[in-house]
Amino acid sequence: MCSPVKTEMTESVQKGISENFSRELQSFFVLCLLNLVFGALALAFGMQFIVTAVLAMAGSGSFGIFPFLQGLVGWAATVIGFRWILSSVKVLKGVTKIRREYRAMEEPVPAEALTGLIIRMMAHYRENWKTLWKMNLFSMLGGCIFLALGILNLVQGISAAASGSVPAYTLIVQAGLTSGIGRSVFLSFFAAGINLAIGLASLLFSTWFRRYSRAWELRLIEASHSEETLKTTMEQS
Amino acid sequence: MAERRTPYEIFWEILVFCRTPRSITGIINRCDLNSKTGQEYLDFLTGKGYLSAVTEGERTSYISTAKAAEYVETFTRLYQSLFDKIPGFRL
Repeated sequence: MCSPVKTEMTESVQKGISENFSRELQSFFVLCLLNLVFGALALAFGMQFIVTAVLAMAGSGSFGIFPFLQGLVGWAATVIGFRWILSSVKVLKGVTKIRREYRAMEEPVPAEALTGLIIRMMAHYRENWKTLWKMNLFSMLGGCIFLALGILNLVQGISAAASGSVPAYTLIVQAGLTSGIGRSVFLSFFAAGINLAIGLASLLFSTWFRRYSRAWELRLIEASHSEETLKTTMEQS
Repeated sequence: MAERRTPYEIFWEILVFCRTPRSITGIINRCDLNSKTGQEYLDFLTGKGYLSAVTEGERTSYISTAKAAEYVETFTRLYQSLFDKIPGFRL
């Protein structure tokens, strides 16, 4: 029979573990959701860059190195964005199910119910560690591409401001609008801001995925050590 | 079964579920096993004395024995410590 003090300590430890689990589950869910959103943005912006580059070259009637590079980078962003979304959906599906079950439980969550969910999360990580590695890779690649696009936009804006002229493809993008070097420069810097923000966010996601994977790798190592204890328990009983 | 569990994790799930008498079909469905591996696990746990098979007519049900309690408790403690001792992930 446990003493009241020991029972209280056990309950507070149990509560702490439950809170840790809940916070981690919530954090990972949010990360997967944000990742899905940015994957969609990468896909959308990638396609937009391709269309812009094609229109620019078609309108000017000649091959432009700047639009070509932009189209190439846009294509890469589209492919990466698409693969990014597919990976995110797979992982998000599993963690959403576990989160839903946890939230349906009444507080305080019983030790065994929590252990059951921990097993599910372990199994989820074992099943999806390769996908998480891919998401880390896509976030990093997507981040680099968007940073590159942002820098391209910055260079475009600065060169337009410095030279006083406007590149032909930018004129085409602004078709129908009143022309003006100021507007062109503003749009370039605005586009640079968006691309740089998406790029930096993607690199941040990559860092977070690595941290998540590291935490679970440690847990898997610890769990494999625990198997020795469990094996001994079974042999002795 | 899409997600991967170790045998020790499956043992724990079966033993906790079988605190009340359960049929093999119920165990397989609840613990997400196929018939062949499910029966292998049940035979192993019965052989170890962790499960007791109770036959009523044509129906066989399984129930955890008192011996299983130590395993369940040890496993629960070890797995909960994974969220206690190891720094977790947080945004």
